[in-house]
Amino acid sequence: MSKVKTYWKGIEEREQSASFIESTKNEFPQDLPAQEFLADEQLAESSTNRRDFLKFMGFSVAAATLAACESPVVKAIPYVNKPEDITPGVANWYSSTYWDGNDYGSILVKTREGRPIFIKGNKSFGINNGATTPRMVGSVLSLYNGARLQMPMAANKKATWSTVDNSIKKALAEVVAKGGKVRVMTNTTLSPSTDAILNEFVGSLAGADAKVVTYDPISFSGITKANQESFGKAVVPTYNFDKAKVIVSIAADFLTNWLLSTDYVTGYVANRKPENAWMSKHFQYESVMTTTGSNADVRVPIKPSEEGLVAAALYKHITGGSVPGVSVPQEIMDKTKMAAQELKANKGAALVVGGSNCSGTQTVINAVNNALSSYGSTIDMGNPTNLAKGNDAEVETLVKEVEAGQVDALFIYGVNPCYTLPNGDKFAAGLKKLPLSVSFSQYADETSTHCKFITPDNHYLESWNDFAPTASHYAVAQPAIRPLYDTAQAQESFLVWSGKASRAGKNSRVMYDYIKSRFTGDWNLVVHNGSVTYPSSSLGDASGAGVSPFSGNLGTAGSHIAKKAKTAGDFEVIMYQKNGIGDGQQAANPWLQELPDPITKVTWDNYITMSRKDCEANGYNIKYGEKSPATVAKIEVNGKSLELPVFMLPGQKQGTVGIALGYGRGGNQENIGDSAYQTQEYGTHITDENGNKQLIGGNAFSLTQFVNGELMFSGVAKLENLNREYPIACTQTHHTFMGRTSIVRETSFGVFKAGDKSNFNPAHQLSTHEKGRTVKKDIQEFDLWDSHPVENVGHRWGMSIDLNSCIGCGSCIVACHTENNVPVVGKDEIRRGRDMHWLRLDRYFSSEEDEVRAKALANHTKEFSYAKLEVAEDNPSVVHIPMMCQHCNHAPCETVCPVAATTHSNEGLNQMTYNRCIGTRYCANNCPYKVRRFNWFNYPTNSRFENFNPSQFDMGRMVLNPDVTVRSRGVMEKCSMCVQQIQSGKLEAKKESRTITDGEIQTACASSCPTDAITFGDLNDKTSNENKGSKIRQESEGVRAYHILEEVGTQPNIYYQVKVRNTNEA
Amino acid sequence: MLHLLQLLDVPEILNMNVFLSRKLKTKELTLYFSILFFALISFNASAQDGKALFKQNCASCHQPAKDGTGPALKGAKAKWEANGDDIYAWIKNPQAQYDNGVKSALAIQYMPGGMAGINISNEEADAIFEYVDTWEPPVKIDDGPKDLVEGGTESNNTWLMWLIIGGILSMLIVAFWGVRKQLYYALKEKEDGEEVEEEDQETVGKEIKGWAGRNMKLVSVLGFILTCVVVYYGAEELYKVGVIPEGYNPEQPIEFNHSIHAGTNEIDCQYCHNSASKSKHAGIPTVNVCMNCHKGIEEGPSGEKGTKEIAKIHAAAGYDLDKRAYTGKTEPIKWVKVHNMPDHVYFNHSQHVTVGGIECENCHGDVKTYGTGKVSGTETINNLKLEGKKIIKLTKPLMTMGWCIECHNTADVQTTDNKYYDDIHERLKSDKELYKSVMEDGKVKVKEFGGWECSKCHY
Repeated sequence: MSKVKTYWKGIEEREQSASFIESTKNEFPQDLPAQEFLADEQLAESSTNRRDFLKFMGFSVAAATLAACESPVVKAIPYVNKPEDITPGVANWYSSTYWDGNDYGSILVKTREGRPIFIKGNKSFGINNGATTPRMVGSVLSLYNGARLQMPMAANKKATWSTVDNSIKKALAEVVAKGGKVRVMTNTTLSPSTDAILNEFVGSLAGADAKVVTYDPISFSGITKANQESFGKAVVPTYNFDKAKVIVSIAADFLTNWLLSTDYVTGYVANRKPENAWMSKHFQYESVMTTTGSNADVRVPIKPSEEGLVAAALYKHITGGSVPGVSVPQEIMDKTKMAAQELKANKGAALVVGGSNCSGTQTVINAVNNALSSYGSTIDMGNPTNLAKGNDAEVETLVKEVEAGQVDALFIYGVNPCYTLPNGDKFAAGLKKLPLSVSFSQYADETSTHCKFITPDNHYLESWNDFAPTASHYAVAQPAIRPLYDTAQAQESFLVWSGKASRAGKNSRVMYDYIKSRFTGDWNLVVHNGSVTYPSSSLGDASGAGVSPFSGNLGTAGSHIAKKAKTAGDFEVIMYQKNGIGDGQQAANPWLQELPDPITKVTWDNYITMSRKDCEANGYNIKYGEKSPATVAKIEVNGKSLELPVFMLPGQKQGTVGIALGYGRGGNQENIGDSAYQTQEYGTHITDENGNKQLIGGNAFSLTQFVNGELMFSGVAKLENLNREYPIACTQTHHTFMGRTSIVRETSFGVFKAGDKSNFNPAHQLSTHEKGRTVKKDIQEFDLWDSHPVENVGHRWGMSIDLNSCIGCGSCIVACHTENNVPVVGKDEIRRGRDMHWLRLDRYFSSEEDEVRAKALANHTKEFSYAKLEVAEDNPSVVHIPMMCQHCNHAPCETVCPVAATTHSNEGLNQMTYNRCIGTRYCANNCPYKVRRFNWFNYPTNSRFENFNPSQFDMGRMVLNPDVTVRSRGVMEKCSMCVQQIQSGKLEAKKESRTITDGEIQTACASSCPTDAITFGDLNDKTSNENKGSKIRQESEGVRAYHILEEVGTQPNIYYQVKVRNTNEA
Repeated sequence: MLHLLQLLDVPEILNMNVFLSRKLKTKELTLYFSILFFALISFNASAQDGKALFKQNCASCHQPAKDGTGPALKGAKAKWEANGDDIYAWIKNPQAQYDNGVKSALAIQYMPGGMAGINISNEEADAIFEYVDTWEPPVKIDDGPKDLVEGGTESNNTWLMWLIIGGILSMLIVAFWGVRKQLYYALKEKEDGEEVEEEDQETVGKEIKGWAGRNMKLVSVLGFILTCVVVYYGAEELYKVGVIPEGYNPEQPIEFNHSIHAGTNEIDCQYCHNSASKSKHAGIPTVNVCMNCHKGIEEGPSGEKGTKEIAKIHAAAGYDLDKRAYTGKTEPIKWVKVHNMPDHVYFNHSQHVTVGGIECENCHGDVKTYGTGKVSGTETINNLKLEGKKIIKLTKPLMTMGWCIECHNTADVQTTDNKYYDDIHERLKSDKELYKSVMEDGKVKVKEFGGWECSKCHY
């Protein structure tokens, strides 16, 4: 073995910092505040003596006992008219579609007694093949956000629909009469019906200068502009990641945040299975480490200004010609050499994508793809998407007009420009002065509070809608609940103001009728399935390619790139999206705020990511823990500044910093939900001297800028260390494995294909002495206890997690939150290491230590020196490991429980019984996987969680799963393998007198996994799939299957599959 | 019921007649028989029977003297006959009469053509008409269920009351005793003229102490027994904390009477509690289910009370009796729960009803005798004698965990004709030892199937 890999969660662990070592010794990092209490001087002076205390106690016990004797009177209120399709206690599922301008996907909505409580991807229909993002899964909670507007508003005062409608119609008539300017500002609607309605609305204003302006806050107009220039079609094409053998991504986070990521992720993962004949090779060039970058085979850190140069370098390598006006430095030529070779070798099955919004860079990327014959194979221009209809230049013009007060009526639908525009404040000032401004926002947010009228739109789970994400795909969104409040769908409002419909309140069928009348085909089927895909022959351009030959102007592109590459300054900054918060629409969603970022593992915060060298050079703290805070820096970009903590991110390109978008919502104290503001110890909001609540992070949209009519998400930054401490809630040092090394198993594709299991997945053996000889025995042969009779008897539930498929997106964590009523604990509790996630994603960085060290270790010589090594944090590789209760058949937790509150079931489950638990926490101390969580507080009632725990809000409680207990204080909890789903699945089978079909029962995490990395099923099922056994049984017997910490002998029911990287290492 | 019994009676009478007839001549016999036969028929189909026939065939839509879903039947026959029309033909095939333009049929403005043909003989029809024509509203007697207790309080807390009274009495006795002692010493002081030192004064406490000291053995034995009794019963009572006691029968918004519905009218439990076979909840009937029948039935069987209670259903459903139409103004009924499951317990009705085949009575008692819903007790249920129904006898208090798991240890899993269990059975066969131990008696207890495992009910 020439190379030794070390795995570490953070540099705290890698370098064994003092506070880290201390924290690993304590399963529960916080001591009880007994010292503090006893040290209280007033305590000594108090007059309560021991006898009094005993008297009080005796009385309290007696009083409590007597009080408990009375039976409570509980009311039960049945329906008056029970809807035919509802049976109390039985869930109904509805297919629908999610689109928020950013994420798209066909979904299934679970409702109980009419309340949507869970969302998962629709694995049967839809272009996303069931893939979801954390934002989609978490969006069910946004339905119950108590800050949603409950009626229309006029001048920020409550109004009725009739008065608002009349005022708007009157004002519109005046604008039409004088031939004024009417603008409708929308996001890319994707909806053919909505677009038609907007056109009808614009058409009804004959006489006025009316126009729809599409504005995408996360702009991709660089791509559409480049395609317009290159191929005469201003579209985003369909990318076929499933056909790509080599993928080169230049700063495109295509697995979680880029365009139709839910579509791409399934295609990508299909080719990442080492069992296939070939495995795709993925190169990623980026500045901040993204989810996509963490999954790449080769990741090269670059500066944002070098994105164009990388594209030009690829062009040069592949075509031999150079992009005019661009001189590519040798360093970049070297870095792109290998990628270019691979691309060239796989012509026709290669794909280059770019995240830049610079049309020049995108034009060069088009030229590269063209040279690689990607069009017609990995890129389909014949079946374009309807994404990214936004035109930055038009938006910039509109913004200027609004700022100058040249617009007479502005309708704002689906966007929040005052928050997302580079100069939101200036826009807001202009917006305030307009004679007529209408917002359809569901909240009194940054933009809508400046509008004359707010006509709140329904939540998407209350609405009918249709979508055409690509030219050949049509999807329908159906409501899963009647509107909770007196709101109306925006489309209905437009039709009403066009004089083509009238209001019908909560029973409105306006949008339903509109969509249905436009649809041709089997309506009931499309509503049932949620979508329909038309054959490609139905597309106008049946040739498939549908492309005019490449005619991009590389000269112009080159000058763009050259201009950008010249940027000089201390730091380059890039604004990126995180998996949880995205563009900030759901900033008040506590599930998403509490979701640890896949890479940094920070919750509830926004920060400046920085490389280790830069941190050290500028004196920023690089090790984070309960008592080691981050340092705050002031960042200045384009004359605007933000103050944010600095977070040392391994893999960050030196000389660059990254800031996530979507934070800093509610800048003017708008009521968008309590969870959108920063809380401190004891859960109260942090307020300034004027009582203003402190925001979570800062608004990075304000640092973006229009350059040549293109919205730029990168720039030059100046940083200043403010030397101020800032507590940061990062889970990367929580729940460590005490230096055990048998957690991650990974290998290269070559080694795997050679087929010798002992090279990549050796069985763990222990040495014993028998008859005077050393004998090596498999770990399974050592038993401390009698085995549980789980083999062959009844069911044995198990799970297999494929580390090759897991991309670390975090959907499973949010799904688990939703399904199992996992409490939200807030930033302060997380900082103390008391996060309650039943399922966590362990992210291990790994760095190769060179041969020198390997030799040194082998020979016990001292020639090895750390100083000679590369800096591990420069560009580590990453492994994501979902970690939850392993349901060990020899569970260490079960033997130490003094009250038998955690026991083993004959179906292989490690059961946790809350009503029996007395909270000794022995089990958690004895768990080698650190997956048990203790309820330190009564989260649903304790006032310190009132600002963010959804169970504390009247509406938020609606999302609780009625089949799962809401735990109270003082009990342990942990992953139950969704035992409620297992039980109900078995019951369904019994009632219908049939066997359980493989895959019928799914845990929340498995059902929400976009890549099907999690397989759940019955390990004892030998008869499914034509007697091959259940999928989980087959996987558990596969060559890649291993147990984490196998040497401990816990014999878990959760299997992991060895990660295989497509690297050249033999 | 009545009708059936009479039919059963007929052969007996015939038999007797046969026995008598042996002494009679054939001719006379024939004559006798024919007379008897007709007499029997006419007797059978006379007023007594009209009521049963009416209930059986007409009552779901018609009432004797009031319009319901269909028009009042009183005087209907006379009306048809006055027009010279054939009412029997109408009963058998209303649509045909309507289509033929029969005058009386056209005159019915009440859901024209809404009635389906009813297959009864002319005689039976006559019996029904005789019944409705002679029908008089019953004399109103208020006889609703009388065992109602004020809303939501416990009904059998008597032991606690006696304990308190006993405590107060014994305190009084001790107090009087003490006062008597004091007076005694005061009197003695006055009589003797010398003060008795306080320490020398016999107080109640001292006296009891002295007595106890003298009877050490008795006191220790009594004390031991008392402690045992207190601990035993105390623990027993504490186990029941939070468990609703037998007979708990709070006042409900509507004085619903199970004995009329499930008892007299033999409506199946699952007609109203229809999710019991499908869901975890048995379901409290929704108002629209009540209205299936109570659209037509608006009077109680015997008195004003029932009518008043039925009116509450109409109010909840927003049903206007005069217009026979829904107003749309509904008001949900807020029932008081009599069984309450703690949050950390998962119970599923369909598992027990559909899969397990447990009788409703096994947990709910003989509901057919109840007024509003109430809690039954283990003993009461054990003593139930229900024809054709198997009751699993248990000992622990109802709705305690002990009761649940006792049943899980007693009841057999209903494995027959269920492919799910067949599959599990096949798997079990591979482990011969376990198979033997489980299948020794040829039956599988719920416990053997994991019915005692925590996560079967707690998650």
